[in-house]
Amino acid sequence: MSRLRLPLISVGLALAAGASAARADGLIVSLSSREVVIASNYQGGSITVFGAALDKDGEVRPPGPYDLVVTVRGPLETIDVREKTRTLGMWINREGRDFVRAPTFLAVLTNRPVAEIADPETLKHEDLGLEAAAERRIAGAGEKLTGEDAAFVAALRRLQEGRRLWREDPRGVDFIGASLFQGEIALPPNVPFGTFDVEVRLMQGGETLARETTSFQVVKSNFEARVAGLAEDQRLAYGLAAVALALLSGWLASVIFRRD
Amino acid sequence: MQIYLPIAELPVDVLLVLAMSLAVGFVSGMFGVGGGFLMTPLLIFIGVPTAVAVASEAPQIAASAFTGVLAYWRRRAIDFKLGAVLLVGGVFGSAVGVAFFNSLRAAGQLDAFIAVSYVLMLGTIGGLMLVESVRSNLDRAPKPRPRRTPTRRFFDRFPLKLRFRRSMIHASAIPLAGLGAFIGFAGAVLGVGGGFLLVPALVYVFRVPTAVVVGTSLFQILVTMLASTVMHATTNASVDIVLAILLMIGGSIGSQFGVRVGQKLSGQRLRLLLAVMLLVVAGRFLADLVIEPDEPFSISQTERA
Repeated sequence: MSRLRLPLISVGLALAAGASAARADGLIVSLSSREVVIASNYQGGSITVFGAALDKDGEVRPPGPYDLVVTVRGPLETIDVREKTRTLGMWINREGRDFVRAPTFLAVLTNRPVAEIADPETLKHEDLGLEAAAERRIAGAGEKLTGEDAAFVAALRRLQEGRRLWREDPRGVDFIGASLFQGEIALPPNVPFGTFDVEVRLMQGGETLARETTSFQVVKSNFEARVAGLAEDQRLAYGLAAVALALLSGWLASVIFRRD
Repeated sequence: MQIYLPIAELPVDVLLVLAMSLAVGFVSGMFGVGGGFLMTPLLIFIGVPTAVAVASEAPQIAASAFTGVLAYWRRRAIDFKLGAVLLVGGVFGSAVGVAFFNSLRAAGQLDAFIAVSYVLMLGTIGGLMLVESVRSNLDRAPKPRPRRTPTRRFFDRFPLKLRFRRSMIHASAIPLAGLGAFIGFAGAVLGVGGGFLLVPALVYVFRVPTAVVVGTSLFQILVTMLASTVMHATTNASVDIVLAILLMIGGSIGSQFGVRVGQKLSGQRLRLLLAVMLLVVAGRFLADLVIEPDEPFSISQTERA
């Protein structure tokens, strides 16, 4: 009996892997959900990314010791970092740096610290890790960062981490057995809206063996979306509605609490 | 209980916001001020972006001003002609204020400008009131009534003289519209109604009887804040209607209790309390400005790439 079952299982696995055997990339990636809806009671959430590493034969078997880097990038924006300096006895914003097309949300999940996975040049070139993400996007800086620029790079990372929008988790990817993996993408209450790109890299000795991408959406629920949409698209009508509301509530208060 | 603010894009505790607006409403009812100068900083403190805080305060101030206007209207204590002249300036001031607000925001100097303005404005008014109330506490002798046949002031020579029957004044429209413009500007930039600026100016500079001043100033604040709301909504899309509703509920209930308590206190004591409060808020902003911050860096996001 058991003799019969084993080959059957391998056939099943081979069949299951067969679909992806044609993919030379060697990674299968999926998400627990494709959409996160933010309603008025939203207090943060999470999405699980899971998958399997394949070798060249499409077998669910690890191609030796490897690293996994899961990078989740939220909508891109120009982020402006400013520094207060003492001016006329007051602390006022003076210097500033723009970070162009920077992800408003960035989560980097790995199985060990990114610095151990690849050398700094590779990390920067391949946009892996928070440090590299900040360094790559600073506007008007040379190849080698000056001390001033480096301070802004560090500040961007520190501030975004403080707002829980950027996160680097060196133990964010768990292996299940030898080749299956999973990681949890935590989304804070102040998560931005839009498309989040998920990039999974299978790496070995600092080299990318395989790369697979997918994405999910963070959307406002009906009511929130409608309010925000109106505020943006029907500006005058929205403003007039706010005016009507103010007059109505002022009048209501005067009727309810009338004392003369 | 958390609620998500769709424009500020962050969840806030409903009870916290209601409690804050109740407290500010109480204060505003007690002293007869709008309370914007307290509410805007509080909103910024709990994490609402400055732009959204200022813009969402405008409809709330308008709502509470409207309640007041209705009450004073029934008592015929509003000089609509004077109000209209103030408004000509006020709407112009708001428009300039909103434009100025947007350029400050783009330059990253909005927070600093607001902090410096609060320190100067609240510090000056609070300081003057404190000196005045301490002085009048010290010498209990009745003060000579302000004369109604005033000496000529520099702006009495301005043209465009108008007679305001209900206020019993005869003054040029130019300084009045200028005053209105300044209040409108301050309202749009700082998220304050400006009652604490307008009332003393009308009483002490233009010698309008106190009975008419409050109603007229509320009328001017009402229209300016409505204009501000529309302008913030059209230029910035930064009016958070959910936040505004919360502020209106708390504010209108709180002010009813404030009015009752305020009526039991003497005018002198009220002015002393208000002065102390203005100075405390000014001090808080001053501390933020002059004390070295733990984190000198700050972030602002601009357009989506």
